[in-house]
This record gives sequence, structure tokens and C-alpha cells, in this order.
Amino acid sequence: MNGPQRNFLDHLHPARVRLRSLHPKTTLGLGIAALTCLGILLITGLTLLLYYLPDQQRAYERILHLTTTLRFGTLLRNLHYLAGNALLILAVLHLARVALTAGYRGRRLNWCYGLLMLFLIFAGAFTGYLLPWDQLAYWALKVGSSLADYLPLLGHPLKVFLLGGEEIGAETLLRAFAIHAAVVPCGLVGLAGLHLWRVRRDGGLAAPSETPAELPARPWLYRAEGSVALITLTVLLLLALWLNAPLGERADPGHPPNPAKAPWYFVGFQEMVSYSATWGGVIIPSLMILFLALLPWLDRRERGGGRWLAPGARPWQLLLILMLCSQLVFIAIGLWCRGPNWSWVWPPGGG
Amino acid sequence: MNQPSPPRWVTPLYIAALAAALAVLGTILFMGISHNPWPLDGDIADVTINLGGTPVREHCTSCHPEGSTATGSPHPDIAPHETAELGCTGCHLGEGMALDLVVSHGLPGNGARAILKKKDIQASCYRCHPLQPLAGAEKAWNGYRLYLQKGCDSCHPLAGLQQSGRYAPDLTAVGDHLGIDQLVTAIRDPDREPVNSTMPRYPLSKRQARNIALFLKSRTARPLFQTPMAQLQKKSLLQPDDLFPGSEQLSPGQALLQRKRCIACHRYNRDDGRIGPDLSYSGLLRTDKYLADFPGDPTALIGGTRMPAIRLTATEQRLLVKELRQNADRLQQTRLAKAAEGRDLYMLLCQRCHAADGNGLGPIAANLAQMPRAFANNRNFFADKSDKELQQSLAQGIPGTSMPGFARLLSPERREMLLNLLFKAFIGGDRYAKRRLPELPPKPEFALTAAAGQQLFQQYCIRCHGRSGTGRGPDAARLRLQPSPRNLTNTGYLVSRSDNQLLRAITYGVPGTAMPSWLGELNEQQIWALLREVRRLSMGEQP
Repeated sequence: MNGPQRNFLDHLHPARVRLRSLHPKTTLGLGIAALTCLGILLITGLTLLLYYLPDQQRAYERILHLTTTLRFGTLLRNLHYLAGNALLILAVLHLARVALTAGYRGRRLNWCYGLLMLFLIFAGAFTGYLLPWDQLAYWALKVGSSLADYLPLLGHPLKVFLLGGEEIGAETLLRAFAIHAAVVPCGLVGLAGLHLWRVRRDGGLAAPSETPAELPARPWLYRAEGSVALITLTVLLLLALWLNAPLGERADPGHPPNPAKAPWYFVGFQEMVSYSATWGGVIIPSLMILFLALLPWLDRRERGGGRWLAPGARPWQLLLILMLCSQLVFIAIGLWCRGPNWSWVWPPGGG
Repeated sequence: MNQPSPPRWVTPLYIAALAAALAVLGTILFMGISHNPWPLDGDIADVTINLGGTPVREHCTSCHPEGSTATGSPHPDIAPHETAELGCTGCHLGEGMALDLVVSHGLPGNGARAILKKKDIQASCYRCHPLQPLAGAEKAWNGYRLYLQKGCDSCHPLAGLQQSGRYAPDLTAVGDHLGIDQLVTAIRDPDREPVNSTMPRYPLSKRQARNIALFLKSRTARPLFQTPMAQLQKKSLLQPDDLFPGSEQLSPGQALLQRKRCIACHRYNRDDGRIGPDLSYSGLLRTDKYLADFPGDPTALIGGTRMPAIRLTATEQRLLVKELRQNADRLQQTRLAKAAEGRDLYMLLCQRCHAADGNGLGPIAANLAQMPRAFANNRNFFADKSDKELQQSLAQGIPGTSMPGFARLLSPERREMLLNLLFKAFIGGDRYAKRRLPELPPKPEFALTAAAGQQLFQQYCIRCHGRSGTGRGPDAARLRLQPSPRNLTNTGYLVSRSDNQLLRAITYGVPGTAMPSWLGELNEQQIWALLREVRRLSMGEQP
């Protein structure tokens, strides 16, 4: 196994790896799990691409054809849906992990690559939501795109660009498809390559300097990564067997469901906007984005990353945890505790 | 270099993960290939039909070979149509590209694509055929007649009809959006969604509502076998004379009332639409000018009324006024003359709005712009009103509302009789025992600005009276307040109220309504500022 062969994978991996890099506690395997999701998304996406048609009249029928007529059609769509959502969650968790171990120290550029990828992932998830052109998709996009309007300066042009006009229409579907099937995958693959290459250039995983003990990467790192990838695949496959990707009636622009909710990852913002458009829709989201983008610069140390709750970064880490937890709470409230006219519903999901 | 011992858990974990992944993948592949997800013999019927130039692709005959039902009984003969040419979804709707039981028959929700079976299938006939009697589509045809008879076209626009109101949602393509059950619900329970719908609840039987729904389901944006030109030109083949059989025996005035669908909502002698006020006596309850002007612009005279504008020519106006006047005169001398007691008068003239038991919830109360005053259990309200005010309300009516003045119809003695009856039967207590009215806040030396008044209104009043003062705030609909909050943009009504009356309502609340007293909450200056704001709203002034 330790022979001299050097294939492509060997170039992405270091020759030797620290023992602690292998340990589950160090990374929780989030990056590899996210990468696996990306792989699954690309493969299932390419399959779906064979059947989908970005046309207002035909898109929904194509999805019906795909899910009910084709062998493994439902499974593929479920898998694509689940992997997309899993990627979103894993990417956020990965970001949290890097922030909480101060792994960005001395690697600010790679943090930015990662953040760009996160935005691409959101764009991919959001545009993918529209493609079935059903009631859920249409109204979630309607809500989501009107949330964009609250962002200052960038918000409205962004919305017009994404929708191909002021309103959702045939152009929107084509644009969403182009972004979803071309821009996002290409961008993600390119950035993921850069992201991994930078990790390698920066000397592997960030680690405290006092751990020099190293192992050959082959086969230990390969096997550890392989385990995470295979576990991710297994879990997603099992989930895809019993969690169906949602599908509503055909889109009807005249009949909004009440309440119309954004896709789940934007429901937190929707909930915040319901309190105050200025605070929940503009100030807080802008501050959140700004905070994430500037985190490596806020924490001014250049060294000493790679340890959980590394000293010197704790106030920022606490802020990040608070931010993520508050979003979770808002999302939970928006998803389960809001009924018709966005009124409070208790117990959750009832009423 | 000291090499640490490799972690022992890596390899077993790797092997376990590999085994699990392979097992799951293998199981899925095996299940997917061995298990046949498709119905019957496993063949999918993938058919594309040309429907008036539109290719329609369907998988329906996979489960319904040659259009048979689920139990296997064959498709009935539909000559001159042919199932092979028409396909399935052209008439039955549903999602032809789906191949599972739930989706293919239409998902629950708006029911736009819900499958049409048996008698409901006639909802599809008029999607292609022009509106004329068709064998097999009797219910839908009847629904069309009802649609016109009940005056639905007075409010709803619908392409191709001579008359089309502009007050309600366009129904031209409603069949593309809603299923038959949803249409029936919308007709029979109009304010379920949205709760502030102004569509009145028509006294229609379930069957009648379903017939109308069958007709409406046929209204689609793109009929399969009609050229756009034919669609533009599609004309109702029903003439008013066909619509109301026997109308040739009516007098010209009565025929006018019928032709303009007045009787679809109002009562007129024996005919009763059970939605709007009784027109039988209105010739003596309203002035000639009022009667002539009202149909063309109802909201100008009764703010917030649900009555749509009905355009009348000058000749028709004269005819209407003459007919109503003659009818009222006749009734005054016959039916009213015979009514000996206050009770009889009440049942003839008042109960339609104020209810037979005097609680203000008469049969048409819910459809009026402003709820009729309750007499029963409302003693405090009347204890605050002087007897003169009450007499005047009865004699002159209340401007801007559906309450007419009875001065011309009833003699003073008869009006006294009615007032006495109200106190004896409903209000209770002594008619002349009044409460001493508390002091009103004096006009402050320094008035607040108009902007401050607006802000106070937005702070304290909009939950019930609404942002624009129309009486449709969020709480009005949510709590279904009865009586509904006053429409403060109703110029006719508010002009007739004195400053003192309005101040009293704001300061001490209105007994028997949801209007609370603001005495403790607001000071004199603020109450006067609100009065000014209400005046501004009622005059339609811009801030």
C-alpha cells in the first residue's frame, strides 16, 4: 500500500498526516461529509437533468413523470433533495467547526472560499426549490424573493436578476434552472478544488504546533475519509427510502397557501421580518453576513488555530454560537408555530 | 522520527461503513429491479393526444385500459366523441403524467386538477361547446342559468357575457384554479377564505351551488377546441326572457326589477332573494332622487355597502321610481292599513334587519354595510339616547345606512306605536327613563396637530376600524365583532352626527358594541384630536 504510486488523490492528500487529524473529535468529519453530499448531488443531478424541462407548462408534468413512472425516479429525486439539504446543514456546521477551532487563523483566504461556497450552496438550494413549479415551490420562492427586497442596495437588483424581472414567471424558471444546473455546480466544483488545495498548501488541517507525531496518509487518512463518505452515503440512502421530497399541486399564482412560507432555511429570516422589516430584514441579516465575512480579521491572532475554543477567539465564538442558535429558534418557530396569517400556533404543528 | 502507532479504530470503521453502504445499495438495487412499481402487467401506456393542436401526454390507460374504470367496467359510449381521440385528461382532468394513485387523481388543495367522475364530467362540456342546452350537461346548463338569475354577473366579470360587474374576482378562468368542491365551498361559505370577503351568503341549496360550480368549472383560460376568435365572440345564447320564464306577463316595472336582477338579492312583494332589504315599501321610504341615484352608485349613499352598481338609463330610472312608488302606495293602503298592532308593523317592516326577537341579527343583517342596532339586551344604549333622537331616527332614518325614514309610510301615531313596542317587547324598562349623561371633555385650549391625531388613530383605533378607517381592522374579522366596527369613511353617516355625539362615543364607548371607553387612556386633547381625525377620514380628505 505504501508504494511509490502517485495518483491524483495522492496529490490532494499530504504524504504524512498528524495522528490528531484522524481523530473524529478534531473535525467531526463535516468537510468530507459535505464533499460526499456534493458528489451525490452531482451524480443525481446529472440523472435528473435527462428528464427535466424548464418550461412552465411542462416542468411539473416532467417531475410527475420522473417520480412516478421511472424506476428509481422517486429515490433519485429524494436523494437529490436530501443531499442538497444535508449539504446546506453540513456546510454551516463545518463553518461553525472551523470558527470554533479558530481554524481560519493564518488561512483567511480559504475561509473566504468557504464562505463563497456557502452562498453558492444557498443559491443552489433556493433555485432548486423552484424547479418543480408546484405550489410549494412557487410560493416559497415568492416569499424568499420578497425577503431579498429588504436587503439594502444589493437586495432589489439581486431579486430582479434572479427572477428575470419583477415577478416570478417563465424567465424565472429558466434562470433558476441555469443557475441551479450550471452556475452553482461549476462554481462549487471549482471552489471545492481551490478549498482543498489551499488546505494542502497550508500544511493540512490546522493544528497546534506541539503535535508533531505523524503517520503516513496512506492508508490511514484514506480509510478515515472513506468511512465518513460511506456513512454519509448510507444515511442519505436510508433517509431517501422513507423521506419523500415534497411536491404540491401545480403552481397557481392566484391562490397562495396561507401561510406561505419560505424554504425552511429562510423561514428564520421570514420570522424575523414578521417582527420588524428594518431590523429583521435589513440590519440583522447584513450584520450576520458582515460578521461571517470578517470573522478571521476580527480575531487578530495569526497562530494557534486547530484547538476547540482556542483562547483569544472566545468572544467571537460565543457570538457565532448565539447567532446560529437564535436562527435555529427562529426557524423552528417559523416552521412549526406559525399558522394562517402568520399567527401563533400552539402546540407546534397543530391548529 | 518516532512514528505513533496507527489508530486501531480506523480500519474496522472503514470496513463496517463499506459493508453498510454496500448492503443498503444492494438492497435498494435488488428491490428496485425485482419489485415492479407499475400497475397491471407492468407496461406503461405512454400516449400523446392532439387536443385542438395542443399535444397532451398521458399515462392514464396504464391503469384504465381503454378507459375502463378501476373495477373493470368499460367506458360508456360517448359518441360522437371518441376516447381514442380525446384522451382522458381533456375531460376528466387529473394529472395524466403521474402514475400513482394519489397524484394522478389530483392532489388535495385547490383541486384545480382533481379528477372529474360520473355526473361531474359535464363540467367539461362547456369548455369546448358554446353555452347552449346540451344533452348530458343539464346540471351545468342549469348552473349557468342560476349564475345569471342570481345576478352573479352583477359583481363578477366573466368573459363573453353581456353584463359583467367589476366588484368581485374575475371568473373567466376559475375552472383552471379551483376544483368543484372548492367552488361549492366558495359559493356556500364565502367568508371562510378570505374572512373579509364581501360576497353575501346566497340562499342556495347544495344542489344549486353544485350546479353553479359545474358551470364555473368549465370556465378555462384555454379551451381545447375553440379558436381565440370563437372565444372572444362567444355569446350567451340566453336572453333575459328565456332566463325568467313567464316574465312577459309582468308589468314593465316588474320586468325591469327582474331583468336587472334586483330580485336576485332584494325582496319585492312575493319574490325574495333573501340578501338585501325589502324594496316593496321603498317608494315611500326613500325620496325619488335617492331611488333614481342609488342603483348607479350605491356606495355614495351607503358607505361600504355590498350592493354593486347597476347601470340604468334615464328611462329605466323613471320606470323604477314609478314602479316602486306605485307599489308602496298600494301596500300602504292594503297590507299596512290592515296591520292593527305595533307587532304586525314590526314584522312587516323591521324584522328583516332587526330580527324577530330584536337582537339585530335579522335574516339579512350580515349582508348590510352596518349591522342593525340590537334592541334586546341593549338597554344601556337606548337609555343614553333621548326620546327625540329615537323619534327622529325612526321618522327620518339614519343617513348613510340602510335604515330608511318611515315618516311618509307611517303616521306619527303608528310610529309611536312602534317605538312603544320596541321598549315593551325588547328593550325593557321605561321608555322615558334616561340615564344622566356624563360630562364631555371640554374643547382644549391648545389642539394637537392633525399629524398627532393621525398617529393616535393608528395607535388606538386601527385594530378594529382599520388603517384607513373602513371598519375592517384585523380584529373586526378575526373576532367577528358584532356589530361590526363603524365605517369611519361613511361620509353620509358621519355628517349627520354632531361633534358631541362622536365625542361621547370616543370618551365613554358605545353600549352594546365592542367600542370601549377611552376616558382613562386618553386625555381631552387626545380625544379631540381623534374627533378631528374621524372628521378627516369621513370627508375623504388627504392628510
